[in-house]
Amino acid sequence: MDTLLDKTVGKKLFLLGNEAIARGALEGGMAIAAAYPGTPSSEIGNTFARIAKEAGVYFEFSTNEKVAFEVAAAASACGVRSFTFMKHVGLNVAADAYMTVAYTGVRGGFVILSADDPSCHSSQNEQDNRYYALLANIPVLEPSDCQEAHDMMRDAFALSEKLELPILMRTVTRMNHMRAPVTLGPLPEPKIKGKYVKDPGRFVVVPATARKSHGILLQRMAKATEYAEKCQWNRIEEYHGGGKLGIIAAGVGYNYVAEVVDGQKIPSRILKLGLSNPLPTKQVSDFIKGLDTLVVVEEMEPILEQQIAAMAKDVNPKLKIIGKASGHFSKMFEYDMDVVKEALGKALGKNMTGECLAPAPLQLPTRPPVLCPGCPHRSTYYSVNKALKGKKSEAIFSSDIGCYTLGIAPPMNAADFLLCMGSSVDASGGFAVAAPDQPTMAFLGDSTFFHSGIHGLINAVYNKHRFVYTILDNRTTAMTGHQPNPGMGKTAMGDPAYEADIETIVKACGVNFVRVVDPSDLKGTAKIYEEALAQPEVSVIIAKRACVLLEARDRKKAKTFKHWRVDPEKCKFCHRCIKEYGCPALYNGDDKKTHINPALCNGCGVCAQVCPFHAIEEAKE
Amino acid sequence: MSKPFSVVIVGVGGQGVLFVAQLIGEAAMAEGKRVVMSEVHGMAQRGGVVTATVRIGDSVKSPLAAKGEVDVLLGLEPLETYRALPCGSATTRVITSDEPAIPPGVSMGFETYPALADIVGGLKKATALVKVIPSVKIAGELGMPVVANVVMLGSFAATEGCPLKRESFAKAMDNLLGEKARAVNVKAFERGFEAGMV
Repeated sequence: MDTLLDKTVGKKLFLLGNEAIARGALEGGMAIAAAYPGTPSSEIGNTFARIAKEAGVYFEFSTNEKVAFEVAAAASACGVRSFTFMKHVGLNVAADAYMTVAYTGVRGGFVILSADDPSCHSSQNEQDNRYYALLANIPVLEPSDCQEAHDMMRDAFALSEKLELPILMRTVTRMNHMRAPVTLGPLPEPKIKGKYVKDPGRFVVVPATARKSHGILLQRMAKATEYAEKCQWNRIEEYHGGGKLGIIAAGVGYNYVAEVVDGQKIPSRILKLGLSNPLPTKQVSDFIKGLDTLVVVEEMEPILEQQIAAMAKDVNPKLKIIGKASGHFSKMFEYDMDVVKEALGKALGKNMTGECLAPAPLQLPTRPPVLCPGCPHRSTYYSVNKALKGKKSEAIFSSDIGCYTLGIAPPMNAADFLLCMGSSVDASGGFAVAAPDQPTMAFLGDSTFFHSGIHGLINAVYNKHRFVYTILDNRTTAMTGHQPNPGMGKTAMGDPAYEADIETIVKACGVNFVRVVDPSDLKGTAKIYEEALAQPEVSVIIAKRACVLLEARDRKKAKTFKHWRVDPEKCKFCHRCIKEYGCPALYNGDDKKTHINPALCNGCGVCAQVCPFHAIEEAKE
Repeated sequence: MSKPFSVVIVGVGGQGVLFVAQLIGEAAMAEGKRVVMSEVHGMAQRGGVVTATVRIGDSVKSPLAAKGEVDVLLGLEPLETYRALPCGSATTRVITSDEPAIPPGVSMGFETYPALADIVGGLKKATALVKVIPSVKIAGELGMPVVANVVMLGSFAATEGCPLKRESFAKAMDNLLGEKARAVNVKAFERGFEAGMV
């Protein structure tokens, strides 16, 4: 039995936030879940992929967040408790469906999890998706720790059914990737089969239905406000005797401020808001009524602060509010105890910030994330750069979201423009129109192709945009942790599936020049790129080679893994392998020779093709 | 209420930073202690810097330590140990591996890796409590260079001020490892513990 499915009630497991969320969902009777992987939410999907069969629930990796959202929304309409989860920008993809599901409301409990990423640990922006809750009129739960995330998930499905509204569970990276002991509750038998009872006056949102549904939505939110006033997730805590200092905190910000006022012995009361939309207006006004000073601790946007400041004008006009408007807290980046100490210290005239070390200045080299040793993307970029010859500096590399974005680093310098999933191919149409003299190269991975790389290609053929479109098919969704995708012939739950053929899809879009290359053949690949660059219309190259991490693992298992070395007799120390190919396993030794670090090398051997002196060869033990 | 104990573990993607942190957390849980841990996933793991924090104590809520409140800095790579030094104070105990992992900018010749003696000298100047552990050499003697991280864990367990019992780590390894992997990891832990006693 998987440890996460332990039936011992009261047992404690040391769980990652994302595992606590998955377990909580199962305890809440979730039966159907769908998602597209995206960090910081990725491990929720990995966990369900691992345990769904054993748990008797259904889980799929859908082709993108909107598809996943609609799969789960329909299951909910059949009365089945459903769950969809995504990283914050994934909700942008699903937003069209999201906005309207608030109008139809739900039958089976429906929970939508948005994993926001303050500080952009692995994202292109740090948008605060609580605005989506205000925008759509959907209740929000904001957990602070692993146990609360588990408990909220467990209860969210029933709450969703009670209110007939979807629930937005909003986490942040520091919540998803926190690990702490979680006490388990009972696991119910999941009810996976539902029935769709037709009700077109509710579920078909033609204008007449939608106008009526909007009113119903507002009534449901009024009910949600009543619920928020007395719900267990909104509670008041007193520290060191309370007093006239009040704090309102939500999400992980609560952890930092609670530990600081506790440790620094600051008399205060904290209203912790776990259900932060709709705001429990009565509870908040009662709380702020007798205060001199109120501190609002919420990462990112001043969503609570602005609503509370508006209320304070009537309830307590003299209230001093310490928050973002007062300049004490930032709208940027995640918080920690030092951020809280500095803000509180300034407001209370008390220095709390600890002394930290200022080590003697040493010139430290940087360590940015890079394409792995032996990564096939590096080989593709190398060949593209060769094929472009003198035009490399003016060529536009329209990149996308995945490992291959790391090609931005030298020596490849293979990323010039990026907005979001699928923007590589869509934007290339714009470059082709606006900058026709510059060669435009779009790059995206196989999973991203299925996510949002197809409609842009149809557009390019239809509107006669000229560019070279590369699909970096490494046979997996590598960046988020090797999740399966429709091109791999298996589902999230491990069942065999139709293996979608990218070449066939591309041809069906009407592309005339389509070539499949093995990027580990550098010369052959560069030659195909030269041909592609000469085409008068959009051309597609599918660079097909499995992710080297998977390939190296398979080769080690099959005992066909090859080791490589540089022959010091032949190495002329010209640095071409490092300066032009730049695999991190290559390094220059103090002996004025280049070497291969055997601890890092994944055995692809492509660097041997780069050396003009044939100095790199297979190492025979 | 006792003061919280905080340990920051740093290293490079692939070195096993998160595994070490998880073992410390499991060991704390085995003792019934309140524990919160923070880890880094995703982009940063592609050869980038990986940091994890484990905090233990009755009043602990934050998964991140405040400035100057780090009791132990455990570094699986010397350059990253040095880079993380500002999280500590003059009383922070620093335990670092002596095995550099060369960043790509250095192999490509754009940047230089400081001399190990300068790194260790800088650490010792900042805080008096520095242990340098030949973790990869010890793990190599066990025939498994990849368990260098657990060697470092052993040295951490031996360090004065570590609030966890030696046997709790054995329990943690029971929870997280299969029988085969467990044997070599326990050996690595014991060798690291001996090295850490010095």
